[in-house]
Amino acid sequence: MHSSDEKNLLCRRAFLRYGTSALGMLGLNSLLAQTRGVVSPLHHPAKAKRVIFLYQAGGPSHIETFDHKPKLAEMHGKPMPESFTKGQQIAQLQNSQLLCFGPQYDFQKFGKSGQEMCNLFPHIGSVADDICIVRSMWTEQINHDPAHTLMNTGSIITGRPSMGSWILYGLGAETENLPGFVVLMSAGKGGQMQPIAARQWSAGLLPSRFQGVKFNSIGDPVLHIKTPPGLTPAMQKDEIAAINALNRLEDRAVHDPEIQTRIAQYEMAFRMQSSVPDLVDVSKEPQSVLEMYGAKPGDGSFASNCLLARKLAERGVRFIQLYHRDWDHHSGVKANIAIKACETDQATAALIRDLKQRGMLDDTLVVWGGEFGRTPMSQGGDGRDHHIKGFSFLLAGGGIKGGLSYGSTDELGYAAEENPVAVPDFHATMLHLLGIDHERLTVKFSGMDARLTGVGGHVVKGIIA
Amino acid sequence: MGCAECHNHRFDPFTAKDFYSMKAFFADIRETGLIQDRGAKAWGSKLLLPTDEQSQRLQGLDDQREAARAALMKKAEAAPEQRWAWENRTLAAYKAGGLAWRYQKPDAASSSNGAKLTIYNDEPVDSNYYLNGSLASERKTGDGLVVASGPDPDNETYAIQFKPGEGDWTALGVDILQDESLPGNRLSRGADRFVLTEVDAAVSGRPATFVLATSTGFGQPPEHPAMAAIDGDAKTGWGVAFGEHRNAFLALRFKQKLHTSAQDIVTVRLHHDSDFRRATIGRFRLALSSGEHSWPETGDSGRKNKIAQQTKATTATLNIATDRGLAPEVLMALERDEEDRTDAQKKLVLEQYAWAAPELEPLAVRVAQLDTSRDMFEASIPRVIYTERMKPRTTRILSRGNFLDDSGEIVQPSIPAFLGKLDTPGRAATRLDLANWLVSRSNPLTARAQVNRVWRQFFGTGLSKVLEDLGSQGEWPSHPELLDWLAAEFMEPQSPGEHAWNTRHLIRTIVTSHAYRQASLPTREMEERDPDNRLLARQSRFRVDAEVIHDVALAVSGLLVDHFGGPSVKPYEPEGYLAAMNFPKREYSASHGESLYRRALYTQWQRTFLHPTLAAFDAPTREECAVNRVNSNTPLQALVLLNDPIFVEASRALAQRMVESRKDFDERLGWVFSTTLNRQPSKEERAILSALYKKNLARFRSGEADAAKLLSAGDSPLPSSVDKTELAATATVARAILNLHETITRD
Repeated sequence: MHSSDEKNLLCRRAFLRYGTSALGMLGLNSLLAQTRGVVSPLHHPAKAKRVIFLYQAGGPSHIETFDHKPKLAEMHGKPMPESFTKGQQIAQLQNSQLLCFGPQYDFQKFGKSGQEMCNLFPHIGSVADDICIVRSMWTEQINHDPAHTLMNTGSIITGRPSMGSWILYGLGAETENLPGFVVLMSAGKGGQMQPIAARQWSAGLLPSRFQGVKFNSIGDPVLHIKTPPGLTPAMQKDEIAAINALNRLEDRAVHDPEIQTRIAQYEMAFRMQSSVPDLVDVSKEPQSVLEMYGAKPGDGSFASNCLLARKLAERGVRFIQLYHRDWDHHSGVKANIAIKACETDQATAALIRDLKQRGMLDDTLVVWGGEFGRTPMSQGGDGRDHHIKGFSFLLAGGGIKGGLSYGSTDELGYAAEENPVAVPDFHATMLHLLGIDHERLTVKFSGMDARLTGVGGHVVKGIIA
Repeated sequence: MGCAECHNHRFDPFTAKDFYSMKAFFADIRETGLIQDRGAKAWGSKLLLPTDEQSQRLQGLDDQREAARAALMKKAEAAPEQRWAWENRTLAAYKAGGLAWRYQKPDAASSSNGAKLTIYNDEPVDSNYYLNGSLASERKTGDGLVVASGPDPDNETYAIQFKPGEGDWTALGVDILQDESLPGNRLSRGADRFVLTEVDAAVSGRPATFVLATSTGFGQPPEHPAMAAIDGDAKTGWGVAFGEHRNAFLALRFKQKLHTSAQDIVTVRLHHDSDFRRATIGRFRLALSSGEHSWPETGDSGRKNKIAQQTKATTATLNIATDRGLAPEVLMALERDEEDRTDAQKKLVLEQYAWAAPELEPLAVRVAQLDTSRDMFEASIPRVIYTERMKPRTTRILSRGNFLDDSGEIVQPSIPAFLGKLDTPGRAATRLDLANWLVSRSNPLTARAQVNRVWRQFFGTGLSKVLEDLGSQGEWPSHPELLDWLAAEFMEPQSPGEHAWNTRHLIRTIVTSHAYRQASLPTREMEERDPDNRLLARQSRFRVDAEVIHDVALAVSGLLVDHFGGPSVKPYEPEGYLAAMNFPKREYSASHGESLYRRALYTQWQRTFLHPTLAAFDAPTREECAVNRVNSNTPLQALVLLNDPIFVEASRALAQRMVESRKDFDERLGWVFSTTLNRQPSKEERAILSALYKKNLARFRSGEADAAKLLSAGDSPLPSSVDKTELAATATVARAILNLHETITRD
């Protein structure tokens, strides 16, 4: 390899480059598609512009959070009536005696609306009038990963786009400095941190630019966001300018729209390098705000992530999903749920209050919930097993009716009874609030029009303001 | 065909019966399911693949070990009076607390490479650990606990000093405590394990010698036996790599009783010098014993909890010294009269005697040494994982895929009905029949699918775009006759001397074709009439796959190690990337040396959290079969090419080659374009890159930017005789070139 190859000027690439006539500019479609959504104009006027989903992974017990069951307390220790459980799918409690397990904490009424919540959640109680509690959620999947997959993609089969990807695909992004779909995962104390696969925020069959980008709480917030050691930001800027200048020359020669996209992505990468570290640094927030959330800068906690979620929402991120793990209380539900309540209560309330103060709650849908609920029966005397027939969700802002308790489970908290809300119903409602008709946001796949709500989904009109 | 798991296919001629009949081919495979207790058993059946030499050596080690064990047990059985005396001594010592480990309160703790060691003696410390799968949090006095924090170097040595007071000691204990905060299996500060490569101890400067190492054994893979911590080999060590929620304990027996007077200071050094990065212990206590001999503390917190329930003790008081130097089952056996012991208990007592009695020590040590060398040698032999055949399970059609419904029709192995029938008169078809049918001349589907996939490699798109489905849900091929001709040529080559199913022949046929050798630049007419180039009037331009992007950077920079085969490798990966995973909790531990620079093909695939360099460029996670990849173009790709340490290192190495190959910058630029892009730079390109070079050279010379820091990227060595500022400035030029769209594009 030496002097001879330099003389080899008429190699194939060089010939291609200089040997053919120039072409006109090609369209920038691939570039613009990144910011503009396919639902344009909207199917109907939107009430919400963005979503913050506080995903409580592991399956929070509805019975110790937002679904008060005094009858279950009376039945504590007695056999669960067979009429409830016969022929039903249960997880780890198979072949064991099913005993009622009463709520481990008391409930009280909060706000003018008098919504009942477990007294572990006084902060959320303090914003009760802004919140709609849906007590009649149900799902089809009894294990974590498929249940997450259903909640995120509307399907139990992996490979479908997650809801954040659908929404980004439908509405596009409102920011050019940040990804339109951001995933956060908080640190916490916990015995059963079920893993969450990266596929939960995958774009599935949509182009991968719609996938969620996970911001890390350890190390770099976005992978490789830091300029390499030894180089200054000015040098990084010059480097990218040189790369883009060379790419522009290449584009002049070969007219490939992918090059235009590449140039734009390098520019966006540079903007992210400047904006992201600043964004995730919550230490510059006023002390009063940090205290309201209960956040300590750099702790990677749920509280810090709630505050970060607000900052992301302010900057135009379309879908922010915040995972908080370890609600999987097969044992020691009493002690463990108190830990989780302590980690999430104050920050959830602070986020709602903060958004409201900034006038953003009206067009930001806040969701609090997990992939399923937990059994009214005990597991091992002090825990609760996975449960799919009934659980609770909190919704606030973005066109949701505040101060409303919607739907209910039966008297023992086993199955959704009044106004049951299936996972696709929740998806349909969320899309509806965003100005999207869930039946019309589709992509062709395997001979079908694939959509977030599959073949189901009914907008839950009763919770819309 | 997946749709037919629940129902007959709506658009293709697959029925649910076809799906389950295909499934029936695989009904004779033994499935082990999820094994809770990971490690040795987790992967099902394994078969060692030793060379003849390895076989002989293994056999030799086996024989030696058996002989040594036989000698030990023979001597142990030969003198029951001695055993009875030992039993009485042991029971008495146990009851008097004489076997209990004496936890030491260190006066000083320091590290060699920067980790911060904090001693908690009478100070309170927070602990979060597991009891029966639930997290217990407590705050209590440390009682000699040492906690590592702060800087987390790849290798580290802890030096601990304590004053035990007057005594004669038989063993040193290293008690390793789990804590939720520790990313490596909750025991270590990184990796997925800790590896204690060597332990040494000295009394006021006089070194002590260890003769026998015994561990709790739980979660300990064969390559990390206890004895490896005292074998004098700096790389091998004792480690715990799987199993969770348990503490670990290493008992190290002194060769001679260690005498300490009141003022003597004992210094213990814990070395972590293995190839696993950051496999360093997070929390530990040191203990001494004067017993004859104290058994390692049980690491099983679940069992401790059971004992707690039985004895009504609190878990806090049980955290240390539950068993007081004797395993509970051995204690139970010893407390029985010999004639009342079960056979298992008799064996247990004899084994314990063989391990503990002074008169048997030389033989016991020999057995332990041979166990260790045999197990470590065996662990170094490659093995295959295989599936076992068993009597086939009954396969039924599951209505709507419901696996709880066993009312469906029973099916026999067969291929989808519309594709024909296997000719297996008088017997059920087997997987071998299926394999033969797949490649039989009467089934052109396999060859067509394969040819279509190979075509995609060279043109960016298959002749039929939908690689995974050549059925009615796929796409009608753009050139059906060509697809058929290539498939036929693949199955039955017409060229003389070629054999059937020869992929190399297929590739040669494609790349020597006129279609392949065309230029990729479209004319305006081509662009208008055929924007996606399906008619092949030109070559296609496409971004290369994730693995190729990585390999190209390594190849042009001279870093690539193109060995063939071998175990998977772990290139650098950002810290904390695996934090969302669990069971066990783990941290990534990058490989060393050549393994960092292998082709990306060899990078370890972590399902659900694929290596981020590959994931950024659309490599699939392998959670499901992905035949095709859709290329995206994202800012995260820019961040990887700009800032990922492997690409920074590649720019530095490429700059090194530039500097070594040519004298002045212009020539270097010509060389690097020629090497990377196979062409010479234009005048404008030269101007852009010269300006970048000059500007950055000035910045490095003035100290505004730190050349040494940039050049320190990665593990590959840096030649000492270079002008660092010149090399660093050249590296910024090389970096621009590795980032070009052209560099990652096949045109």
